Amino acid sequence: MSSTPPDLDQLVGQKYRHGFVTVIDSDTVPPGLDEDVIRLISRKKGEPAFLLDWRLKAYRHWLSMHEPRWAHVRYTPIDYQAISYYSAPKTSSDGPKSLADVDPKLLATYEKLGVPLHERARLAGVAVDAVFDSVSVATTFKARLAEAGVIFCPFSDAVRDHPALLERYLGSVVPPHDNFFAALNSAVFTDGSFVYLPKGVRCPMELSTYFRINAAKTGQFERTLIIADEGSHVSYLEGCTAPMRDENQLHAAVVELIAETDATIKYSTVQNWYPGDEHGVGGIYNFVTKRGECRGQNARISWTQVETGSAITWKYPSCVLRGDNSVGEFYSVAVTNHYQQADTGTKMIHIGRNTRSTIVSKGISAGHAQNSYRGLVKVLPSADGARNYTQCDSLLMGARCGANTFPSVEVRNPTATVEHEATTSKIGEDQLFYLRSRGLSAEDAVNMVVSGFCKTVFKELPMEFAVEAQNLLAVSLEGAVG
Amino acid sequence: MSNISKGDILLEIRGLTVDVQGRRILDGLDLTVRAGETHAIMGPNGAGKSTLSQVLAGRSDYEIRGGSARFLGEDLLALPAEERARRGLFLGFQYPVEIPGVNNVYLLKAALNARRRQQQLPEVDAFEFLALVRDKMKLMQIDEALLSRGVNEGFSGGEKKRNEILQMTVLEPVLAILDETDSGLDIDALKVVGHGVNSLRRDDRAVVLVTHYQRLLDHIVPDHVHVLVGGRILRSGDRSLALELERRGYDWLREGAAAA
Amino acid sequence: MSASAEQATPLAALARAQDALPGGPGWAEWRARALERLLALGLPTPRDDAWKYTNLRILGKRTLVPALPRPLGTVALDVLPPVAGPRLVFVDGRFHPGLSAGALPAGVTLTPFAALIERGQPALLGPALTGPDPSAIDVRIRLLNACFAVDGAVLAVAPDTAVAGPLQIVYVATGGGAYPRTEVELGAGSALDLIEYHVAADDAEAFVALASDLRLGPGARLTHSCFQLAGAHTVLLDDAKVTLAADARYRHRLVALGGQVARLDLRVALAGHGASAELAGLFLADGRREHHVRTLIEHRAPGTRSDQSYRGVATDRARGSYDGKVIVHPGAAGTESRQSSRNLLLGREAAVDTRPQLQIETDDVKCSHGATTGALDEQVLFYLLTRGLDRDTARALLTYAFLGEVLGLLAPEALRRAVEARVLGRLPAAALIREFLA
Repeated sequence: MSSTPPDLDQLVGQKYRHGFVTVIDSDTVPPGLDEDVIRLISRKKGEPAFLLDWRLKAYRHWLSMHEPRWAHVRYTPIDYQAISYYSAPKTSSDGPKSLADVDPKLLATYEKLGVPLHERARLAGVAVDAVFDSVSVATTFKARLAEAGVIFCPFSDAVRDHPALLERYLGSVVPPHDNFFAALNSAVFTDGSFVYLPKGVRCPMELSTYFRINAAKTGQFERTLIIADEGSHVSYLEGCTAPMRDENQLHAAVVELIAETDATIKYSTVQNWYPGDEHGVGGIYNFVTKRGECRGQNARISWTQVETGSAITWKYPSCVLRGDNSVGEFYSVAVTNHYQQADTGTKMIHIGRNTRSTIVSKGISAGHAQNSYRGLVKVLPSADGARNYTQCDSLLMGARCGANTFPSVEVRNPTATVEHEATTSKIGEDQLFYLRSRGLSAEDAVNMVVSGFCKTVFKELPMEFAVEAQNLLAVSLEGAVG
Repeated sequence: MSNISKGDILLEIRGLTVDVQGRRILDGLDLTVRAGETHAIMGPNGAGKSTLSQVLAGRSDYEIRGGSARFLGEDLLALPAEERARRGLFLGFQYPVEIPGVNNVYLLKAALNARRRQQQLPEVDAFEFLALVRDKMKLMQIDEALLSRGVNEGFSGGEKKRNEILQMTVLEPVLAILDETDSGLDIDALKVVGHGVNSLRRDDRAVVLVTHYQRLLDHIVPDHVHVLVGGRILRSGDRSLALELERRGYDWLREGAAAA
Repeated sequence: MSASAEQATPLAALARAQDALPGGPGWAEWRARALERLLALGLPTPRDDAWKYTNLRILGKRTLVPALPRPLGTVALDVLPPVAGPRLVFVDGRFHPGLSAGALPAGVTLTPFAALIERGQPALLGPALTGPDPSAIDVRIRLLNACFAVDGAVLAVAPDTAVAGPLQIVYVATGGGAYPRTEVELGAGSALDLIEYHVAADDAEAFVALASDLRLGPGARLTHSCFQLAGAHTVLLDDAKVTLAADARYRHRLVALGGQVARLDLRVALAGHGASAELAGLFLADGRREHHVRTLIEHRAPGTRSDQSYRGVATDRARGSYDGKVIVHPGAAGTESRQSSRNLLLGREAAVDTRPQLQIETDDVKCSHGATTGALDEQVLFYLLTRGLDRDTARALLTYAFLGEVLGLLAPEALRRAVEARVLGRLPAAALIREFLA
């Protein structure tokens, strides 16, 4: 971080030559990234000095880092200077004027998902934001949350209203230098969610980013920070519950969770970014860093994710189990079809005594897709009595897809017990046949078998999400078995 | 052979209080078992029956908060599990563990010789031992093929329980505590187990049956029946108490206790 | 990559050491190429995935320069089990006729690797020297061997010959670098039982890099056992590569008891329809020993099967690892694969790492893996205590039983008994649990 690579000045100089400065006050910044862009983002958001410094440090470190190359993920290199890092919410004139202008394939998908008609319009980006303005939706609950003392607001509001909390917690779980994409996010994040639960507070409702992210039509570099103070409890849902038409390819979010003594955070995700078409053209690169830390005794962090979208998914929602008796959980379903690639899993780092973790991962691969579980269970010498149980199962549908399981288990304490089990097999022909002989269509039979396969994960989802997840599964696997 | 006579106190528990992970499971339990007696301890699920068995056998992850237990005049709670076994206390497990790789019959031989060394008796040789075991296996109707397997390895539920009783009949303990030995047994196996236990009953020994149901008591008729509820003995009686429990369940006792 | 200060062998010294090796210009060039490629790859660092768990500091302290022939001191070959059959002994990577014994069975031909060097052009080992290794496993042990191997056994079994009784190869290390080279070619329908031993005196500061190539013709069967009894200061890197034609069957048994850092890299290519591999092994790492097992099984043909079963025990401050990968290539329909790694951690400062990996590129498969690491089961321990066993005996017994499944696979019986006795000797209360073996 301290040493700036020699070509930095040159790089900055180049940008100036392109007349970048002249557009600084406009709402849309041309593609490219340098310190001025970061200063612009920070100024637009009215950020305090510490945050700008933090961003700049992250940026300088990012310049010294190399983009990771993963053995089982293939994609064309990203040109980071071709991405626009700040753009104000698009005006309605950018979107389709009515449903008639929307790709009928997209609408058909919504119908299958059971998204209400007006919702479909909103999700497709049709100009109806007066009705579905995220801010107004949020305000209906604001009173109840405020009453309970819960802070739930866009990240930019938190920067303005709660700088002390931010300064204390931001980057404390995922430091800016953590990895290439986390560093990039730290430098350029534009918005996201902030949640704070005071001591002893049980959040009176499920918190969700469903509306906000979609309405703002941002979400390239969002940042989420959830802090659950002693004895508090929160369930947070993150939904990208319909395919998003997004011309931007890279989505590099960072999520940080902090659970203090006796606190519980349950974080559920249903991710269905645009996966690209059946030929592998387009789609989102979903490179996300998610990590939670159980700081105090008996803290609990539970990740549940259903990943059906994105061209490439790369994320490992993880738990650092620092507090004694703290608990980490990871429940995941990842579905890949066509040319999708998912590389996902978790890290469970056991530091405190009697810490426990559970990992259940279900991967489903169809078409030409690649699906990898990558995980680490690490038990440090301090973690007396630590326990982990891991179950990774992969289901294959079609001879050209791939499923990989790459777990690492590192145990440094003789009182720990760590168990890992994994299976990979073809979808059960006899099960499918049995169902079809009872009159089910081939597609319904597949859905039923796959749902059964994923059941242990789905039951961890909040009710309304579970239904959506089931529907998504069906949509994602369309045409997988013929 | 033994210097114990009928009526001698074998086990005396006074005010035994035990916590498991911070929760009180036994709460001032009293029980006296004399030579020549057969006791049945009955109670609903969660009453502390298995905890009592495990604590008496010396399982270390229970927190003993108070009270005492003396076995043959010695402080039982101060002895490690293996010493209790060598002195003649036997626990028949509710869930006998499987130990692949540890041969069934050699475990039995090692256990018997450990007990005999304690009694200052000569160890049995392999020949004597096999004769003895074959005899007892016939009694317990256990297939000889099971002898050469790992301890309980791949045994059915019933085979495991019969194997426990086989061990007991070979080891000839002074006091046998049989934890839910009847669970998972069909009627024929129940008879065999009952037969095995009855064969052990003698004036210088005692048996404690820990059970949820009274059906085992049709085969092994107890002299004393105790009802364990909420971590203590709420009522003691004879065989008829078991029959009453069978008829009325346990709730009436709880209500009685609450009213008292 | 540059040689670190504590590197006992400056890289320049490696090049000089090659000058002293036998063979014509062809061999010199071949070795120079191997060294060049090794240097281009660089010596391993902890960042190299394949070396993550291996203690490179100890490796770095060993001299890699090949040991010169010298009079043999006291090498205790009486540690070897009384297994009947011919025995080839290599001391510091060179054939030792005096210690070797027994006539080769009919149908088996032996060509000393040294004779190949004397008489001809290097033809073996070629692929390791060019281009990146397609199987993506680290080739550095193999390259190191290629740099310095001067002798070894090149064995061929004639088609349809079932060799009776085991053939034994003993590798003795007395200090310095040793680079034995083994090639075994099994003709179609032949069968061989091969046992390898690694022996070294405890005070020998030895570095052994063994490279083996085993090729099984159609329907051939090879049982390959490795009994590792190296000394307390031996670094042993054993790199074996096995290729199976249709319906061939390969069995590998590993017993790792000795060495300071001992590692096996075993790659098996199931190249022919219906080929199968059964790998099993145990390590018992005590003190500050390190035992590492790395396997790569490639299912390249339909109807292939693989089964792996490893048991590891680490006590005191020892370290162990199992890093196994199964790749099912496109087209290998009907593959069945099972991987099991179970580990006991018995020391406060002991450590075990496991990585059971599956990489599957076709759908008609049945693959599973399981890995566990932990202490002895308290409930089982308690059960034994209630039967009157004391704690030490019960613990030793359970540790022994934990290894029992793998021990039971060892053959012939003389080998199994010798290994059992060795394992017992490492456990407390050996005399008491010996009774359980009767």
